[in-house]
Amino acid sequence: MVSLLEGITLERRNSVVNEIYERPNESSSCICPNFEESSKISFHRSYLHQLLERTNSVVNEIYERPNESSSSIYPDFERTLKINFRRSYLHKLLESLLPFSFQSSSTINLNTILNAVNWIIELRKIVGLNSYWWSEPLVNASDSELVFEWWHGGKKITMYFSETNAEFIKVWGADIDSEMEDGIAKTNEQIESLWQWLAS
Amino acid sequence: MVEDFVADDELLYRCVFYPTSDGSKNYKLEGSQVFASSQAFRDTSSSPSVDRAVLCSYNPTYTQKNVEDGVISLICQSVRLIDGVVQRDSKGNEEFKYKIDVFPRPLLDNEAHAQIEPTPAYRNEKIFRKLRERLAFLANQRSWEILPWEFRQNIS
Repeated sequence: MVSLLEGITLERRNSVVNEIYERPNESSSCICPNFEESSKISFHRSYLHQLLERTNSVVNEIYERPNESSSSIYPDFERTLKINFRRSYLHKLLESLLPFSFQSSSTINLNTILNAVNWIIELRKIVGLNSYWWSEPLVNASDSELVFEWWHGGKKITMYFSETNAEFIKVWGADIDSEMEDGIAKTNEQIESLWQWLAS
Repeated sequence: MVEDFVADDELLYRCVFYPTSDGSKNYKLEGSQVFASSQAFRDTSSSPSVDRAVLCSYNPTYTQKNVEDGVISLICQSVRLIDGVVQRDSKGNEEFKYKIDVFPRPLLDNEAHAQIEPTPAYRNEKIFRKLRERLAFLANQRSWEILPWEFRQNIS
């Protein structure tokens, strides 16, 4: 059983919650500040828990995948390497995205991060299953949205993640009317179609 | 004396911060090319600032806020030729096209300052997203005036 909770989980989760709890700009106008504080902590805790559980289950899913046969003469060693790779990838992803919600000026919230992480996990599964081209995205925050960008062979995709939405802009030339297209990529089919276009 | 019109053939500089105030980067190395992100043209008033090269002695370091920053460039005419920024109604029918122009907006401490502005003002952020893509695409067609610091280090 692989656990993503090793190493970062408890420590990271606590530090994240503390960070939110201690955030100096977050003043309270509530008449019951203690109640508000504990609700806030529970709220954030539950989202972080969801996020980590989700990544954990994905790692397990990949680990248990029956089609993933090994041709290595050292299958256990190879499997360990794969698990470590995936684990470190997801750790890196979470750690790179979480700080966006803690900038004092940022309005990126954890729901947005959860949405983006879920999306990219689906994409990584599609990429892995089909052996598509892959590159890490450039990640930025824009107002309340997370922005991921990829470039490949004269083509580009920009993804905008809000709390509930995942919008794309495809770019293959300078003309906004005829060489750019925007839309929504939320289902697996939409995500795969988008990535097929970029990777081809 | 600051000219009150930006000529079509003027070179415009845009600073690409290293890193930005929120700790992220607005460029990426992909293959052998450093791409400027569309987010390099982000602006709270949807009017990205540029510096007019003619008013800063064609010296792109003038536009850097820090020595680590990169600087990209655009030709004014290529910005004015952008005619595909379209406002559509809820059924997708074209209502009108935004006119994109470059206006001199000199500041007390920066007489070379200009802005890329739409007429009329954008009705929503989504319209500005596509303009940013276009501006980044145009900038990426040109060489960087100054590469971000980490790539300068790699080259030297």
